[in-house]
Amino acid sequence: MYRYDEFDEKFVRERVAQFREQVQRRLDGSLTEAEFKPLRLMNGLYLQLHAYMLRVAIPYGVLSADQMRALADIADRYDRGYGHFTTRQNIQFNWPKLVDTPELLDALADVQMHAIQTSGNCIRNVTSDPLAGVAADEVEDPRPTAELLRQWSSLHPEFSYLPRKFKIAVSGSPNDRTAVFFHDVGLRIVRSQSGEVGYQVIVGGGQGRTPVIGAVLRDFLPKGELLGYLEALMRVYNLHGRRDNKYKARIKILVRALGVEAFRSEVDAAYAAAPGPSFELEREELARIAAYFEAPRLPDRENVVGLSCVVRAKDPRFLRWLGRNCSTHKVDGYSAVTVTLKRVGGEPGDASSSAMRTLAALADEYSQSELRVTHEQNIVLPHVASRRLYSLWQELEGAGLGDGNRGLITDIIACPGQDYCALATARAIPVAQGIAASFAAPQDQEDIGPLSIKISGCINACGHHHVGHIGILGLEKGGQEFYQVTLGGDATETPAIGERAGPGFSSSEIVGAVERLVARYREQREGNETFLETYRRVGLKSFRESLYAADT
Amino acid sequence: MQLIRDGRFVCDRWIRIGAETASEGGDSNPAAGCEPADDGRPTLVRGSEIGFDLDPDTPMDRMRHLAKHAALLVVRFPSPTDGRGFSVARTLRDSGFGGELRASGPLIADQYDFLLRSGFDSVEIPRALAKRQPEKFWRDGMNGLGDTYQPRDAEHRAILRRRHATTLGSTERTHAGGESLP
Repeated sequence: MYRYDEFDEKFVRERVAQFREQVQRRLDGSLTEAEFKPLRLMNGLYLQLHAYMLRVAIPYGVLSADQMRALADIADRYDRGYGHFTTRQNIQFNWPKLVDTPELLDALADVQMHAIQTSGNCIRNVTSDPLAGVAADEVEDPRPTAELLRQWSSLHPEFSYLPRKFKIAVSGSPNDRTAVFFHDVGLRIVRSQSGEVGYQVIVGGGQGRTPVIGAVLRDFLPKGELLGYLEALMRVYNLHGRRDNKYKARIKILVRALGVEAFRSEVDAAYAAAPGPSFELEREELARIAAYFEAPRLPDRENVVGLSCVVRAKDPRFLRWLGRNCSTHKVDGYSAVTVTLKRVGGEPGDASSSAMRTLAALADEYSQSELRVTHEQNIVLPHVASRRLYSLWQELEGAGLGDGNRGLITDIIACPGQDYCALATARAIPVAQGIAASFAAPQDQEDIGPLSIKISGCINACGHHHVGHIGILGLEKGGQEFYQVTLGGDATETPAIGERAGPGFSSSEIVGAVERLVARYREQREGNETFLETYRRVGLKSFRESLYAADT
Repeated sequence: MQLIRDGRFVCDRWIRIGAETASEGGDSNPAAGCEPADDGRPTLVRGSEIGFDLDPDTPMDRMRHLAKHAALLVVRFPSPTDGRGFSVARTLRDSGFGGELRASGPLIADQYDFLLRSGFDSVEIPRALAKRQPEKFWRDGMNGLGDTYQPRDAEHRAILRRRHATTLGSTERTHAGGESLP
């Protein structure tokens, strides 16, 4: 994985020193709260419902075991023994005191981490594929590009006071695991007909109040031109994006207002007018970074044994886990293992410090000391010898992390909701817990198969409900929580925004509503159809009937 | 307004045309002295040199036209979080403007380095703000950030260029690839 050189190290240290001094000036009154706000946000510090919240970047989701242990220590010292992994490959700590934050940032810098640009109206933490460098379907590892963008966007003088936040995702595979169509800019690494590797540029996707599927801005952008082209694109957005209404300030609104064609012309004109960073420099830097991401040397002996000795294990819980949570690896005889942080009765994405330490130890023992964080709020151990899967699973099971439910109905994404968030209009976590409890039986989950439920506690859609196969949006009316259901959303390379099913449900009705949707799927499915496939075939009407059956 | 150049509070040698906006009374509204130069007449003079106030809304073609005749361009920042001025400065520099580029508005010392790296030479802020953010803040802010990741920053600060100095020399591309353009 990437390691800071002396420049990166110095940069992060200087940033901490600068923030320490900014906090001091806030405390002595020479900075007003209004002036301080964008400065603290650019360092990941939010003022939440009960206290400050610090969001730490996990660039493109890659963590070392040592970094995971440092996060566990931070959870114990500054939070209440927990960290919350988010849908954008970050981790949040909920209770730090303002005066403690510089010290917390020092602790992060000790393990080459930071909170730079995890919030605020700037270019946010760049996200990528949790199976980068591992997935067999990869055109090219997206991590070097993501790291290049992390550096280029860090304290960019021109793009630190944008109309609104700006999120970039990079995917290296045709099968999209990064939601590239739902980012301000999505980059897909593609091969041209002549065999050259470059980028397809997608712009103006997003969720929030106005869900939009991104549009292709450039079919093929050669390597070396990425930073220059992005600077032109950002310049058009910075100059022309709306600033009068924060709900209309994202780039998706500008692209929609201008039309993709006109937006493209603006970007092309800006690109032609501005000398961006040199092609050569970009290529040299990409090559330098890529050297850090060379595949770890996995011992050859492991290959021979393969899966044969693990399938002798007859434990059905293990076999389910093997089927659901283990992905094939580029290298024969290895697997990438997903650990779902979705225990029935737990909070989606939450990890205790002891769970973090367990995962770190298991990464040391089984996965070349490396971990990944996914946008589904799970953890991946990317390089596990397949013959050791049973032994790994037993250790996970012992720590309460052995559920084989990846991608199943209980692998629910939910935002913190009204339990923690100042913006939320309804609770999200209890709904997730209610659904998970209702479908707790593993055989039931297996029978239902792949089904993504995503829950947001307000229209800002942090729980990504628009792209859930079943999306649930918590709202409030007359002091009562109620939940709207959307169906058929899809965050992958076949993107779709869920359709509103009809009137909402109360907090006591919502779990029953999901049960009726699942029952309708089971009646209607043909062969091995998944929920989404059945939905796409039979349409909204049939599912709507089942949802509101009680009324008719 | 208080003018800041090279990290120091300095006197402004430019004279604003239109006496009522030249006084310090303009401080109650930091943007009061900066009207968009719609009619093409200069709003500032210094000897035989002329300058213009620019609103970030001014069409870019118009800005480029004014830049041909001006020794000073003053870019208005309506608020510290309205970052259009950063892109205005970059665009003007890219189109060859070599005169003084000044940022004007309620900006804070923490933004100084970003302003300089975007192409500004000087900043003017309301007097009241200058009292809360004295000269020392601006001197510190000037070098608040050491090395930077943007290749276009000064050679001695630009991490990417220093990393590859031996393989690339210090040559910079002068023009983006235009083959795909209409």
